[in-house]
Amino acid sequence: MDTEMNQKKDKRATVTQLLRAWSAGDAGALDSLTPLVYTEMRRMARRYMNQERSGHTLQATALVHEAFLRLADAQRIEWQDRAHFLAIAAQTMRRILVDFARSRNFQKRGAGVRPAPLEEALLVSSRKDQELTQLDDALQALAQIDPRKAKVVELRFFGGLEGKEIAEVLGVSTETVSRDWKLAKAWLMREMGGGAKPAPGQ
Amino acid sequence: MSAERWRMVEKLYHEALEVPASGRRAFLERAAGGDQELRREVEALLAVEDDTTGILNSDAAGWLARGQDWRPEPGTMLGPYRLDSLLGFGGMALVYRALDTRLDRQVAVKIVGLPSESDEVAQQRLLREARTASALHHPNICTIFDVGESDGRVFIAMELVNGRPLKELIPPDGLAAEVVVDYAIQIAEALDHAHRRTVIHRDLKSANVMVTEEGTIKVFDFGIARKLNSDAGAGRQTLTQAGLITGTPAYMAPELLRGEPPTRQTDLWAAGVLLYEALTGQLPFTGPTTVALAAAILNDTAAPMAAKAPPRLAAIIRRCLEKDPSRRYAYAAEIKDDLKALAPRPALLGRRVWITAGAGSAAAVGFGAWFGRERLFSPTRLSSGGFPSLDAEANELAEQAWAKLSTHTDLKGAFKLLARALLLDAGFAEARALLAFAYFVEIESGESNNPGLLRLAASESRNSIGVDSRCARAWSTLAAVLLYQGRKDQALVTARRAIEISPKLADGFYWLGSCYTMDGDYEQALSAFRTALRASSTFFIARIKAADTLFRQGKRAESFREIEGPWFQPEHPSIRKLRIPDYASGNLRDLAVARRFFLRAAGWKTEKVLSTNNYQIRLAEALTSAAEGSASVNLDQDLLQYASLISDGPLLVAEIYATAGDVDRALDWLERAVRAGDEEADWFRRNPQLASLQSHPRFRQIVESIESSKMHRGR
Repeated sequence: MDTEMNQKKDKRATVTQLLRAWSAGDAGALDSLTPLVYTEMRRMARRYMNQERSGHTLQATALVHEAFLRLADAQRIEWQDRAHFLAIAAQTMRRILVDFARSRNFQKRGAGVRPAPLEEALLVSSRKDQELTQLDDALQALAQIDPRKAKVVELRFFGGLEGKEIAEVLGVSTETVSRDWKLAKAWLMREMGGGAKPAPGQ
Repeated sequence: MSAERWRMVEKLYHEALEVPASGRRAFLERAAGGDQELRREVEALLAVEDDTTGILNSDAAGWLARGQDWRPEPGTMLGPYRLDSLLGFGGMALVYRALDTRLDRQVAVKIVGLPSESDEVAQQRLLREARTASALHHPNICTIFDVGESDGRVFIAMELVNGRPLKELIPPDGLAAEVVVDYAIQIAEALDHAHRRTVIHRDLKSANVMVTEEGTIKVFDFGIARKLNSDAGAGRQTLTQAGLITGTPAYMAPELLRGEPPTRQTDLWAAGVLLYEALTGQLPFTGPTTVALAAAILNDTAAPMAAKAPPRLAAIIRRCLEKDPSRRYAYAAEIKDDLKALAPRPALLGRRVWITAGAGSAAAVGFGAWFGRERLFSPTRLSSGGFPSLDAEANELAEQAWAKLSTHTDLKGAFKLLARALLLDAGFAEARALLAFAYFVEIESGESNNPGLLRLAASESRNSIGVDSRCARAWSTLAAVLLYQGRKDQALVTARRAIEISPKLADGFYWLGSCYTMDGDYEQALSAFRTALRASSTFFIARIKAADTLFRQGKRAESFREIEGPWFQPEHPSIRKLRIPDYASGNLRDLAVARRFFLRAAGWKTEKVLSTNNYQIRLAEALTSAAEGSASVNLDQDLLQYASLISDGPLLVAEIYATAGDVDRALDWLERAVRAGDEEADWFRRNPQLASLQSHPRFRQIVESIESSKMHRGR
């Protein structure tokens, strides 16, 4: 028990340190940080899956925020470091969700690859799988012409971050974030074909 | 697209948005300066319809949760249930009004989750959980009738509740404290019931609590609760799960945020959040983002509740919101008890409430505030605690009568009102019980010494019980009459009956305690008076009795503490009128002090006291003047007749005579007290007012006869 507690403390200290280093300009810190976050979020999702619940999709935002609470020392961490962490988590969430959506689409086309249990936790309908991969494609395209706007979308959609947090992560004003979002949204919807309309009644 | 061109697109896009839609084309023609492709690009972006249902209108969480791809049409059969209208839907369930075709019964059917080829295991788990919840049967829990599967879809058939979610009923500045307490007691009862069966709710929130038109609380979604212990080893609860369930972590306890498993205490935390929300209209912890919210829950103290919050209610809520689960209540039942102690049910606001708004005590402020608020619903119970009549006017008359009766303000008026109520509805058991009580109160309050009133009280109580054997007030009034008639053992059984029927009826405990006192069983008596006080913290007479009991146990200091609390207002008219004798004779025992108090409280000179017709006041005067060594002890026939009617009267008269030095008369009345059921042999020996009798052979005989009789009966 003590060992487990200590390990958890160690991990938190490491993450907190890496976050500080990263926001202080050490780009290499990000490389160490990302796998830590990814592993933790997958672990959480898997444990979630192993426990219970049916028919519900995993709440990405909750997962992102929980990852933060678990990995970082929430009480001591600087606000800015926290924002950076959320940015990584959002990115990670995007990877997890999109990888899964693609694997399911692939599977549906007959490849017969069964998704790992983790991905089942993120289970969505096939139409949603398609929408999600479309969004990811469009986001990649947007990143080619305007990386910051793509980031705004990633943070907002996959990370569930609010304008203020996004502004903090990107080092811009909230006004800019809101303008970016507006244009990015229009652009993405057009890119995805006028916005994938859901079935009537939704 | 080049970066430079994209910047132009961006610039024009935002500029065009500033221009009224009608003028945009002209603006863009001009601004694009002939670059048709640029213009078209911007126009295309501007033309994108901002539809509100697309993927980008929520975050991934919300979007993924929006899962109703499938929505059955009305008329669809699901097992034996024919679906009717859609009542509501959330991220994870559809709820239909439906007909159970086997029983021809209206039910609500909740279809949980989305059909999927891959979540059979999870569905099995859900079924198991719902079955656990279906074992809960409680008036404040939405009953689950059936859990089943049809075409791979799990559904839950449950009680159809006509009501609205509490969340929608909370006005911006919160509900009246009276209403909050009423709801809170019901919620605590629901949780207590579930917790005793090791089921925790895990998702208690104002949206999961329905209020019926009658004001009954129904707690929903125990379907996602699970057995407390069954999966202790299944890993730790996560924010994700709970976040998924609640959709908002605003109700999550700090330990849940830290990844600890849900417990009873996490339910109690959620109850605290809910009550805070109901009382103030605000959530105790908020934040612009989930992380900020989580940080607030972990670190911050909730803002103080508004000034209108009664301090004791606020204290209960604060205890639920202790960060450390071990500092919260251990059981929902404890919350229930604490709430009941301040329950503002007008039943207990009547006769026993002598504190009015502005009296200066903390409790008074709270109760004053309660008085001023309207009730949201017609009550399921009358304010006297009983069941209402179907006739609204009869109910209204009974309420008015109770208000008079309980404050002793206008007994004759109360009689008239009750007579009219019974004329409208002869089968109105509660009104009949109140009528019985009115007869009794005429004696109890010292207004009359007519023994016929006790007989009337007894017969009306029995009539009321004949109409409705579950009319608790009829039983408690009957117990009181029996005790006054010297039939203590029957009184005890009858009082117990009243309590069994209505554990909320403070009067039932009061009379039970009074029986124990006369038995000399002070521990039991004290416990009963304390319970009465928990049911109604301003039940002044019960407090006097508790103090008196402590005094009889020899706990003088404790007795004084009980009686001399900050709430004590000797000038208050109802104390003046009613309980001065108790105070003087039963509690202070320092008769010189009692006399001063008595005259001050009465605000009268001795002559004026003597001219009053109130027998209680005259008994008090007699006792305190005897202590002063007054030459004349004013006990006329009328007063003695009165003393012989009330349960503690004979002993009081014995004390008066003994204090005045009239040993023979004192012993006569002491014997009379014993015949009337007073068997406090020990207290007779230690009673300072009876000191002059101690050496008398008759005194010893009296005491020994009590002891042998008790031994004979095995007490």
